[in-house]
Order: sequence, then C-alpha cells, then structure tokens
Amino acid sequence: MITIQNLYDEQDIPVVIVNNQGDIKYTNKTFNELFVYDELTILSKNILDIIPPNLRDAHNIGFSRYVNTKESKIMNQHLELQAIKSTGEIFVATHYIISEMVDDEMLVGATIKPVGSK
Amino acid sequence: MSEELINQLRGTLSKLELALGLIKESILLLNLDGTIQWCNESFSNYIEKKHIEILGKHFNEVIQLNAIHGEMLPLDYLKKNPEEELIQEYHYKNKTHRILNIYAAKTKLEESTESYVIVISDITSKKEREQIMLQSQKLEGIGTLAAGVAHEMNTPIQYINDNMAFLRDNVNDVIQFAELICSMVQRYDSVEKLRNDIQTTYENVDFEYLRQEVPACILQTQNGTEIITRLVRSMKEFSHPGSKDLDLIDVKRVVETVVDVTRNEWKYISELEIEIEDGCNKAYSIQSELNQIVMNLIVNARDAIEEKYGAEKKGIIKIYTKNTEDFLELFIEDNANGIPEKVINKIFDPFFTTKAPGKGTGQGLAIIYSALTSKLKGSIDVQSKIGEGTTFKISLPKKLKKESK
Repeated sequence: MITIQNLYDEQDIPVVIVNNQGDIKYTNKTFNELFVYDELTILSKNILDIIPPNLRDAHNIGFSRYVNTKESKIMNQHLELQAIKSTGEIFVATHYIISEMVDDEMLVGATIKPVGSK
Repeated sequence: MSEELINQLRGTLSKLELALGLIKESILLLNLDGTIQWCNESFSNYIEKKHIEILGKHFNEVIQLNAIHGEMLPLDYLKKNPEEELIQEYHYKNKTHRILNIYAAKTKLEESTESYVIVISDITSKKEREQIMLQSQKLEGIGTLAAGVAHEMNTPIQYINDNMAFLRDNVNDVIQFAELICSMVQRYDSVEKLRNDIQTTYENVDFEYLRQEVPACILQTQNGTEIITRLVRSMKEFSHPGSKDLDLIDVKRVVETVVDVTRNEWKYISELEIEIEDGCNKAYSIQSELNQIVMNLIVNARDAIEEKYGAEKKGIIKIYTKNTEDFLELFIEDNANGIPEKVINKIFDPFFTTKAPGKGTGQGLAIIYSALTSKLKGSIDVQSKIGEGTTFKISLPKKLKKESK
C-alpha cells in the first residue's frame, strides 16, 4: 500500500501532495518540470490550478464530499484523468490518489504519469 | 475566504451531492460545448460507468440517444433554442431498449459559468404499464362493444332468417306449380281442361302477393347482410392493432368505424350526428390509438347525456371537423350538463373522475391526453358551458416535422 511517505520519496514519477483545503504542500522536481512551474510558484497554488476548468466543479464537489464523509470513489486506483499545465496545455495522465492523516492533518497525494510516457 | 467558510461551503456541497445521489433521476451539468462537468451517482450507476470516467467526456459520447420521431437531440435543440427548455422522450439502447424522458435547459448563471442541466428519467416501465393498461382498456372496450355489436347484428340476422324461411316456403310453391304444368302438358288432351286447372293452381299459389313480396324480401335481406358486413368490418378495423407509427389516416373513416361499433352504447340515450365532408380529412395519427380516443369521448358524452336526461329524452352528440393550416381538428360535442369550472383543469389528471364509484376509473382522459400529446404529436382542448354541454377538440397534425438531427 502506497503511503504519503512513499510519495515524498518518489523522484521519477511526478508527485503532488495537498492539504484538506486543496493547497499544494509538496511537489517533486519531476512534477514541476511536467507542469512547467518553479518550486516557489507551485507552492502558492491550489490543486484546482492543475485541473482543467471543465472538471473543477466536479473536483470541488467530490473533494468536499471526501473531506466531509471520507467516502471516495477515486482513491487507491489507477485512473486516467485530464490535467493542465501552467502553459494551458491539457493532457491525459494516469493518476493514483491516496489520502492519509499525518500529524493530525489530512493530506491527499497523487502520482501523475502522462499517458504514453515510460 | 476563511477556512471556516470554505469548510461550511464544502459541507453544503456534500449534503447537496448526497441528496442528489439518492433520487432516482439522473442529473448532469454540462458546459456549453456538451462536456460533462458533473453528474449525480444515479447517472453513473444507470450507465454502469465510474463517476470519474464520465467527467470531462462529451454527453453524446457517454449516452447515445436516438430520436423516436426524428426529434433533435437535446444539445442540438438547446443550441438552436437557447432560451427554451426541452422535455422530450428518446430511445436509448443499453443492454435492452429503454425509453428515457429528458429535461434539458440552460442554467441562468453568469455568462462565463453558463451550463446546461439535463435530467434523465427512465420511463420504460411506466410506458410498459401504460401500454398494458391501454391494451387492457382496449380489450375491455372491445368486450363491451362486442356485446353491443352482437345486438346490432341480431336484428338484421332475425329478419334475414325470416325472409329466407318465407322464400323457402314460397319458392317451393312456385317450383311445385312449374312441375305441375309440365306434368299437365304431358297428360292432358283437352286444352280447355288444362287451362282451367292451371288457372286454379295459379290462384292457389297467389302470384300477385309473391310479385310484391319477393323483391322486397330480397332487398331487405341484402340490406341486412350489408349492415352485418359493415359491422364486422368496423369491428375488425377497430380491434386491429395496426401500425404503431404515425401514418396518414382517414379520420372520417375512423369516426364512422367507431360510431358503428359503439352504436348500441349511445343509440338509446342520444342521437349522433356526423358532419364531416368528404376529402381533406386526412391527418397523421395511429389508427388504433385514435379509435380508442374517439370511442372514449363518445362514451363519455353518452354518460354525461344520460346523467342529464336519464330516460326522459335523447341528447345529441355532434362530431365534426375543421381544417387549419397545420392541423385537422376533430370536435366531439354533447349537450349535457357541462363540466364545472372548478374541475375542468383536473379532467386530464390520472385517476380524476366525476363519475359514480364503479362507473369510471379516471384513466380515460389521462390516457387520451398522454397519447395525443406524446405519441400522436397532437393536442386536446376542452370547452364547456354549464347547462349547455361540452366540446372536446382533438388536433391532429397534417404534416410531420422533419427536424435535422
């Protein structure tokens, strides 16, 4: 089972970790390169900034449900979802999303691997 | 925005999502290019796909709808008529053929966040129940009418039988007379005696009476068989399921058929006048459905007249048509008591009836309304005056809209 600590240790696959407000708390270098952000800028962003506008309502609703009920339909499975780079380019990537309480804080993390990449 | 406020809003969103997931209908939120932004759990369960796999896909890619009568698909309709809402039935083939009722409209939000809302109800079971109810009502109607038609046939059959007995007896006399003449010609040597005997026998047969009665008897028999033939044809036309699709049909013929098969239902209660000119009586409809509609309205008019006049005197049912550019309007009018203003808006509601318990189920007009406004692409209106009577107007389309898909 993948843990948040595993995500911190991952360097080859793009990784993002957010808090229960969706604020981005951690990304690895591979993530920053893929999404075309520098480290400082990405840490001032919210997870909505890497979700295409079409899917933001669905994310808001689903994320709210998870925070309130801890019921999720998307955790711990490989899912092909769209993401958006800082350049506006939308691409499809395989997401693997997990959640864990770390020091009394709920963190949600994901690996995001573009479809077609090795 | 404070964290507390965000948490409150998240709580509200969650409650709404959970509530919307519990209802049977599917609800979708699309952006204006048709991409699904959100759907409730009922929709993902209905199409048996993961919620997350649906989001971001185009509506037409996720659910392939087929028009029933060439209607535009929901998104095409909304693009063409952005200020209108759509309520329309479509076919949907999943594992089985389903019928969906779709409501679609544009949400009144700021321009940048405008969306389409689509609500989908699977009405297949409801349609099947309606079909069964319609069929059982039709069978019940045919059963009732069959007794009436049998009664209508009984009179001509009786006099045809009497006439045949009369012809049998008298033709026998004529044959005997002819045979007698033949034998006499062979046997008699005196012409005078032969003439006297023929005259006596001729007078016994009463040829004068037969000359008058036999042609009349044959004519009446022919009339009788024509009545029976017409009744059998009408009954056959009435009960035949026919096409299930809209067809150009002769509405006058439908009226005549129904009037024939219902004659025994109204003839002791009311006169019935048909004022429909030949020609210009064709409209698109489904014959079996229209048969049922006209029959129900005639029987309703009969019931209303019976309630007003009882056995004292007969009322009048008038059936006539008017042509407009797009519709053939069929009017069925009675001179009964009329419908009170306080109930006239409810008469097409299912299970609403003003008839005495056991006399009406309140389904007749509801089924007529549903059939006319959905399947038959027509409409029904009612005008009524207390003490003077009621007129139902059925509008049937003369052209079918061929809308681009």
